[in-house]
Amino acid sequence: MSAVEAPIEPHSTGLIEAAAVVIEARAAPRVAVDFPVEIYSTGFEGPLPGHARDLSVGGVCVATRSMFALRSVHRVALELPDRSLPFKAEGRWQADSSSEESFLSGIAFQAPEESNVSRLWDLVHAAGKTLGLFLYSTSELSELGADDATSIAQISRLRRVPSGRSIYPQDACRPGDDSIFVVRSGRVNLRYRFGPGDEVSLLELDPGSVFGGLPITAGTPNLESALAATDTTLVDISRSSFTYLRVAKPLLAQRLVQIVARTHVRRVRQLLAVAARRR
Amino acid sequence: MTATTQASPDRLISKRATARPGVRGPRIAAQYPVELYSEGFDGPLSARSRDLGLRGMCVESRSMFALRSLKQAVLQLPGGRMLVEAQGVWQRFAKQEGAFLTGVSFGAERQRDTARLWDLVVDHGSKLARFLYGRGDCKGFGIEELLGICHASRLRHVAPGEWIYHQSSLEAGATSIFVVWKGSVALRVEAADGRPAAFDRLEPGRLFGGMPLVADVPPPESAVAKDAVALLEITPAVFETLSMTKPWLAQCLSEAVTRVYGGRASALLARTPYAGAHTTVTR
Repeated sequence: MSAVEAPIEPHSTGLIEAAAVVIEARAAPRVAVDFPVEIYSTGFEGPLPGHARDLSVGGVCVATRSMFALRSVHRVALELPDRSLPFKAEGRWQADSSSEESFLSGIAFQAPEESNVSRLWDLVHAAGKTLGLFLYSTSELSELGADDATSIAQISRLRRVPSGRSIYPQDACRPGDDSIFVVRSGRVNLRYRFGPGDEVSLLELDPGSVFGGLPITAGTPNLESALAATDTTLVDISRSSFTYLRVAKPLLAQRLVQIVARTHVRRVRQLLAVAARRR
Repeated sequence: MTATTQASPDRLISKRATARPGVRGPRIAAQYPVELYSEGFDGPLSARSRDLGLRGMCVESRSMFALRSLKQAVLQLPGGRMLVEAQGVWQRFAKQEGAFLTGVSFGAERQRDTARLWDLVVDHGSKLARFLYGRGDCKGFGIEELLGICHASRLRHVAPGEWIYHQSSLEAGATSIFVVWKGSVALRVEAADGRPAAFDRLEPGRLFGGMPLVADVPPPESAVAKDAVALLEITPAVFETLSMTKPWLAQCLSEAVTRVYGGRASALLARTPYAGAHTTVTR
């Protein structure tokens, strides 16, 4: 979900209307970013610190430790390395991000000045370029090619998960647990539970590895659980991002499905080998 | 991309971009007696249709014939015979079925024949879709999607005890997506130690196969006919065409194939003996 979009329900209206809603909601590319943000609200005196998780020309998604009243937000400042970039702002949506132990809020910029729009444009461009290069050159999505890696970068969000924290549990399908993930930094441990307390550690994933995503690509729960083996940063391709791809870039969506399904087959093969040793 | 895969995504796209025009347009998995008339032989050659569309059909025959010599075909359709001008387009030997498959294109359309074929394709597709609606693994599909699947499939008969495909083998005919129409199919998976495990037994309406198309991996299990089986088959060529012309349907199929496989894998793993509370690390 970008900062300025409402949750997408592709089946709630006719197919064409739903497609139009999905495409309109993604009119501007939004890219996974990670820098400090200060939120100013009428509800509290000083600024509330947060971290940007994705950024577009129209708004920003911010992770904060606590919830706040969306309606009271009136200003946001992006704390960039070289300067602070303030905007009039409006809160749009809020969601719990359990794996991050934080709340995510979508904040839309209100009538930004032309010079700030240019600055945002450059920021989004630079972040998309950097992430696109990572996905293209070092990740399991590299087979998609440069154009598609860039497209993925432009619908992504960053997620920080502290060491030892669950990313999703086994058999998970819940919103937030259902994304396709790419390890950006750190390590992720995949595990499978045969019964209460009877758990095997399947694999440790390095940066560039793809995991999860079965709920949104196949409508079925993830087979295994995932937890952060170290402090980890993930590129998160959410259900709404994938819905956008299905409508706007169906071939890319299908290739993403192919990668997720292939990864899944590999995991099943590993698990069957473990299971065979128990018979 | 693993070394065992059949096509890189780039090749897949280029293959998609040049998908055969012959597989476009609705067709139905239908078996009708066909007589083929050719310059090469005096009497008609007996065959039967495997799929039938407005502009052509796929026929199965016991022997080969020269594609160029084909002139006419007579279809024994419900309601009577239909004579069409015919041209051979492609031919291949279906090893598992011990038969030759030939793609036949119909010549200049006659309006009366077109109307008759139209009714046949639309009505038969609807009947087949109705049969699948709400049944087995087709429960998740809407009516439009089921009609799309029925209009993209070909009939395949498999004798009792014959293999439909083998695990890890990318032989011809092993990569399609299948829906059981009649009979039953057993799926078996062989673990790393070579020991087989029953994966599932499938009755009409159940979906299987297709992981080579969807995930670009060799079949993760083997499939064998338990009795005389009729299958609706979506071939790689048709799937590639769907990906371009009806991407939504191709995605629905991809989703279903992965979901069904995941469900079977989960069920098999759930039958694994519980080893008590402990954690092991595998590499």
